[in-house]
Amino acid sequence: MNGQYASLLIAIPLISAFFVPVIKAASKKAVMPFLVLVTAAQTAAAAWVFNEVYTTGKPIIVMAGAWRPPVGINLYIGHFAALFVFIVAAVSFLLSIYNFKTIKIEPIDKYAMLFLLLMLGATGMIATGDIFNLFVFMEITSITAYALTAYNKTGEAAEASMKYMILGGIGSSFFLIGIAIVYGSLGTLNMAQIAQLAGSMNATAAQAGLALLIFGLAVEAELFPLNAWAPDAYQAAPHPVTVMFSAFVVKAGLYAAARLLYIMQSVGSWHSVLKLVVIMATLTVLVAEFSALRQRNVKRMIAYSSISQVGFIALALALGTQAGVDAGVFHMVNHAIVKALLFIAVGYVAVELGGAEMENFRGLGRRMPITAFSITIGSLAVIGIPMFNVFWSKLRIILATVDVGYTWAAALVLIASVVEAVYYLRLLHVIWFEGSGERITESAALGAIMLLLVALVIVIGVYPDYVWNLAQKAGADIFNVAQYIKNVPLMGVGA
Amino acid sequence: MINEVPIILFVPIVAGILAWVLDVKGVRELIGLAGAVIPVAYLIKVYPTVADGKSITYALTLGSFNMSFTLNTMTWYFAIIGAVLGLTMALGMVSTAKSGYNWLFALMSFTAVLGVFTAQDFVSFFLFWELMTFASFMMVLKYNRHASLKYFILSVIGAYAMLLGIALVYARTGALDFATISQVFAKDAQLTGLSGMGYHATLTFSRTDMILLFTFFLTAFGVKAGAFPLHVWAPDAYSETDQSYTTFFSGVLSKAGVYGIFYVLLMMMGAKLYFSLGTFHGHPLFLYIIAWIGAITVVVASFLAVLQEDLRKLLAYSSVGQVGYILLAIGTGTALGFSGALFHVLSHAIFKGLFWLVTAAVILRTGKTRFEDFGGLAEKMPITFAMGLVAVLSLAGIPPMAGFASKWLIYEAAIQAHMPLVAGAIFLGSALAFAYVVRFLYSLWFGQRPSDLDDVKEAPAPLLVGMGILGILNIVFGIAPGLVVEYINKLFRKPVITGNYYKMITPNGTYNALSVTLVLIAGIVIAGLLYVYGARARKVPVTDTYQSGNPVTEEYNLSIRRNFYRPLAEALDFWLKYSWDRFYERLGQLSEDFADVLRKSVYNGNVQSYSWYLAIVLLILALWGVL
Amino acid sequence: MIEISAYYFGAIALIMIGLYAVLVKKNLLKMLVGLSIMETGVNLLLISIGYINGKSAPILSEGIGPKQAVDPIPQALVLTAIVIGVATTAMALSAAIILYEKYGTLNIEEIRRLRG
Repeated sequence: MNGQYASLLIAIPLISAFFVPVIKAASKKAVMPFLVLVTAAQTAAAAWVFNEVYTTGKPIIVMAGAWRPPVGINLYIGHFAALFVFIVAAVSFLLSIYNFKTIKIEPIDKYAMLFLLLMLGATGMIATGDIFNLFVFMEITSITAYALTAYNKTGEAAEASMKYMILGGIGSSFFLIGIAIVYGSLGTLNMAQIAQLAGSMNATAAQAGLALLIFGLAVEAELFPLNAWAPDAYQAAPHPVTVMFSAFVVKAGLYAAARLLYIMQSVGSWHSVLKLVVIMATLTVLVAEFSALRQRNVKRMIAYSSISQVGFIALALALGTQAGVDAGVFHMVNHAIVKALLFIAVGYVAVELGGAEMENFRGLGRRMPITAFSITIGSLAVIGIPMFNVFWSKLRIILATVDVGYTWAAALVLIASVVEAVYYLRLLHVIWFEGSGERITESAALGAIMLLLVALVIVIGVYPDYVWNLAQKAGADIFNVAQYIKNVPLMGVGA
Repeated sequence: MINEVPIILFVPIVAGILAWVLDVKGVRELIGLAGAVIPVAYLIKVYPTVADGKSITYALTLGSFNMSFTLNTMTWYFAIIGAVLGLTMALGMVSTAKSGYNWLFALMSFTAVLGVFTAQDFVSFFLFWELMTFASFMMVLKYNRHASLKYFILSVIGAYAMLLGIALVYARTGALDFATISQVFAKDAQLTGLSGMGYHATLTFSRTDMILLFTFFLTAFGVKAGAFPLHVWAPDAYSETDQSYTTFFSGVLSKAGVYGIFYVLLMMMGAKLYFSLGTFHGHPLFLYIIAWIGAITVVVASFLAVLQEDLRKLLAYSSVGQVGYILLAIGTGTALGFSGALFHVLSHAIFKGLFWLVTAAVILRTGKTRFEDFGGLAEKMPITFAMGLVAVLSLAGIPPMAGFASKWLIYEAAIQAHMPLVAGAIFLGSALAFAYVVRFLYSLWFGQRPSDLDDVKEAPAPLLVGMGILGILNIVFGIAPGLVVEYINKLFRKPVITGNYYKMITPNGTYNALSVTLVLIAGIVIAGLLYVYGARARKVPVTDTYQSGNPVTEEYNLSIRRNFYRPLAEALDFWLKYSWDRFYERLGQLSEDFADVLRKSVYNGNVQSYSWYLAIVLLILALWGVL
Repeated sequence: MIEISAYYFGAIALIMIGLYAVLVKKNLLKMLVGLSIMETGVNLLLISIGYINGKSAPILSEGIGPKQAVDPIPQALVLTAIVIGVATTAMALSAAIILYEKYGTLNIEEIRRLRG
């Protein structure tokens, strides 16, 4: 089949989003099933693309309007994008089922639309090969994310959304300035061409451009101290949206930052930018873990934990070595699975018991055993207990970090990990050994989703080879810029 | 054909998972027991091979890490100790464990410990190390959150220190398997020695690297071994769990730390550490540090053990102290010392395991843990009492028990290494050990029995079998220490200690266990005859007590069951004010408060402050990147 | 080139004014106005990058071919950016309405139920 069908990945959610009002006009009950259908189709398309890319070993380049880059905007679905587009679609599919249980507030049709657009935005950010297109997808992601954060219509939701908007607005403005500088000095917006020409850029312009681009994306990628919006947004957003934030929206930002970082690696100040990101990432891990320590709201606690894990990923990606990037990508995959599991389970508890306060988790082991079991496995995985998936990626990250010579960074993030262990284990004690209550019948569908994710956590933990291989290929996709340039069929202009 | 190593390694955990999933009373006990018996059987089966100096290796690739596990002369020694203790633990748990949960995590730590002992690369070593910590943590978590968290935090700090060490080794050598790393260290040690003599050489590991590595690994292994000042988790964790499990926890898990020090610090990087860190008073500095840590551990833990009022706490501190002996023996740095350490690994495991099984039986039958609630149990639980007596004799280092043989070797080694202060610590520790076992012996078994203990029954059969195994081993290895010594000599590939089955000859002296035993038996027979025919027994009421010449008052009521060593505690008042435990607690409290302050000031809820963060980062970017 | 520097200067001045409003003004609406001013400044910056002195707008018409026009790409970009800016502002203002309903104030220092 023709690789151009990969543009379906963008087309399916976009077109479906516009069909939501039509569906709603037909029957209001059909909106949620429609969402399931669309995400299933998207998952199928993504699975096909994934299979195509990993069997042929070649990226799929989609050229809009058959214009060759850099004149036309292209999508670049390499190993990384194929893997992550699939994760985005699959998680969205699971969430579309989760929606039935968790989204009760009207207007559901608007929710469905925004849900699809958020999925689209993240997919686009991962797949695009054009820097301004990246900005557009980033804004689609952000604006839908703002709207979804405020969706619950409570004061807290609006507050969280407002914080997100102001910080996101500043971030994206400076990102745009970065684009302006890069375009001004290179005359191109195509990432492959930027990579090709980056070495010839005016040194000052290159440094400023790179710094501003990374700054803008760091807001999305939740790096300290640009992440202050994140805990509020995670806490106030509807539960499925929180899952999306943690599982792939932030990953899209991270990926974009990493991609831009590596395509501009011939810029003079590259190493100092890397170092700055390493410092910020380390601080992210530390501050977030300490902030989670005495949290009374479990959802917020896990939000902080998620931020700290993102710091781990950013640290790995900013090491500037193949091993670091591989480890970072591996951690991305593991984190997506584990945090999806945790947020789904915690959100479910919040729905059933009326809030994610720590008190509600007392005796959960007897009240909702499947959910409690899922939270347990998820927590143990995050802590880095062997035989669960995160163990392997954390190990890889630490090895890679010390290998580069950042022993201090490794030591600091490990100290933070100790803190992480403390609050997760306290939660587990509350769940299993404190309090009691009557048994609540758990939804079979949600139980199945959670157990599926638990199974993934354990399978990857016991047999990490397969996913590690994927992560290595995806990591090479980001790290090996020369190959990236070669893969994009640039017209012979500019160079 | 599948070789024995994976069976030995994975049968326990599989059995544990099955026991947990099925969780039917009767079935889970059978499965669990099978999971513990099979490794022992297979380990015995491979004995001829490893005794021959051959090894059996099992390799697998996981996450593109090459992992391998080997049973050879060295690892088999530790593995069989672990497995036998694991078996007795399982026997004890048949009586004491009430749920599949206990079986799952007990057997998981069984697998993990065997994995640690047999691992031949750092990844599997670390993986099983973490698994071991996790499994034992879960065993404590069920009983006490505070104790378990203290244990886990210290263990994880240790584990992460080790991870940093591993990462540093990996960064310098690019290898994770022990064989390659050992070679690199050996070569580097030679080069360091040469460069010390004036040759120029490029070293793989700098002096700073070695200091870091030593610190990292010593912290990691020190936590697990319960070495001072990282021992604070041990008393709580050992006492707040299923006591049958403590048999294994205290008997074997602490040995993982010892094994680490022995294998990683000594065999792998010992020479390099010696050349890089230099000597102190003619003694390798790093060994000197280990010896002193051991000596301080012995003294501190023994003093604290003496002062305990709770049976479990007393034994827990005693365990900590006994591991101190092992460290101290390693620290002497001589082949004799290493032999003593290895022997003491065995004898500590069997006598402390026995102690904990006895405790498990007593607690199971009486439900009490404090000395003041016990008394006169010897009549009610005669076999348990006999076993307790064996354990006491062995721990206190009275011939002809295994404990004496190993301690004797350690004395010899300390004297031979010219470490008089350290030897002094051993003597002090022994005296204190005597002081606390007397309490164990008297207040549990003799004297007046509280009326609520009148219908106590003998321990259940599986526990008795477990105790029997360990008790017999104590006596056998005590009378015939040559059995162990012969094997240890194989490790060194030369006879460090000569003699025969009953006789140990070191450069400084000879210990003939058989003649001691014969003399002892003769003495007991004579004393028995005197007692039966000669003594004029007179019955006295047991309530008629006195205390060191002081009258018994309500507030100063010292009996062997209550506050027996209070005068000692008062004498040590000044020292007891300082407690590492409280220090760590305060440190933990401080970091929690710090976390609160940080959280509330950084994430203060005001979006304008957040915007300022962005502005500040922009400013930093401007200063750093652009200008 | 003087004119172009003037545009740059103007653009950067607008960005700074906007940033100042966001960082200093306590009223939420003023902060949002600041955000909009900042976006305008960024858009102006983009436009001025593509501006070539003396050339006309990039609309293909009589007498104006590719050689006579300024760089069209920044203009396309700015169109997109303006649309995005409008969407963001609309979102922000509607959130501000909800905030005012729920909190009874627009003072940013009082809108901080979520913290820590």
